[in-house]
Amino acid sequence: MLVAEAFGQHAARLRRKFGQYGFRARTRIGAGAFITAAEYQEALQIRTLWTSELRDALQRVHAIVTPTVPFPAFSLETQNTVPPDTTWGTIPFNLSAHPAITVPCGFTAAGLPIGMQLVGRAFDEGTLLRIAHAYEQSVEWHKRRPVVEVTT
Amino acid sequence: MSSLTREWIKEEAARQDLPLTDADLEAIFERLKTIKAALLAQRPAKTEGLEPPYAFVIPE
Repeated sequence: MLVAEAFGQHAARLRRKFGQYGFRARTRIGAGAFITAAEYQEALQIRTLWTSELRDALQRVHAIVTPTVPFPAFSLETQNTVPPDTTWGTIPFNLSAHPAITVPCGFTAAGLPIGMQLVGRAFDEGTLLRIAHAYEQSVEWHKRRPVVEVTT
Repeated sequence: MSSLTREWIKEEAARQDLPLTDADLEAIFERLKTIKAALLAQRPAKTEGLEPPYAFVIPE
């Protein structure tokens, strides 16, 4: 859905200024030109099913806990070359439009921060924020700051 | 997935006035393979009643 919709927004500009888009952007957005109407409709139907399943699950609990990403933070160099998919944990809930929040929940052995995602019921952001706040009050992770080395 | 070929992308890109380089075409081909396989894996067995919800209303 995302690539088809992104292409829809960028189509005219892409045709005029294709080379001015970076390689990663133009190939990610440009892929949307090759999604058929039937496939886009199928994606909408899958979204409807997913949203219903999530709604049912959230009738039994106030929130669902997931990793925000399935790997620790990575370097700027990785980001600029072949970055991993950082939307792994967030896209499902962007798709369903359920509210979600990430809070710090620890560090790797190398000292890199780890995030925990909380997903709440539709239109119940208040409960979600209270859960996130209660968690933060019970831990110290969000107070830790990196040591910044200053060189001259 | 057998319908997705580099040749089809090339022809469709020309029809849509998208000046893909060979590298663009290859990256888009790989991305489409992933997207279309994911769609196929999740294809609903029943499609009636799965219309997108109106605005941000959670479907019943």
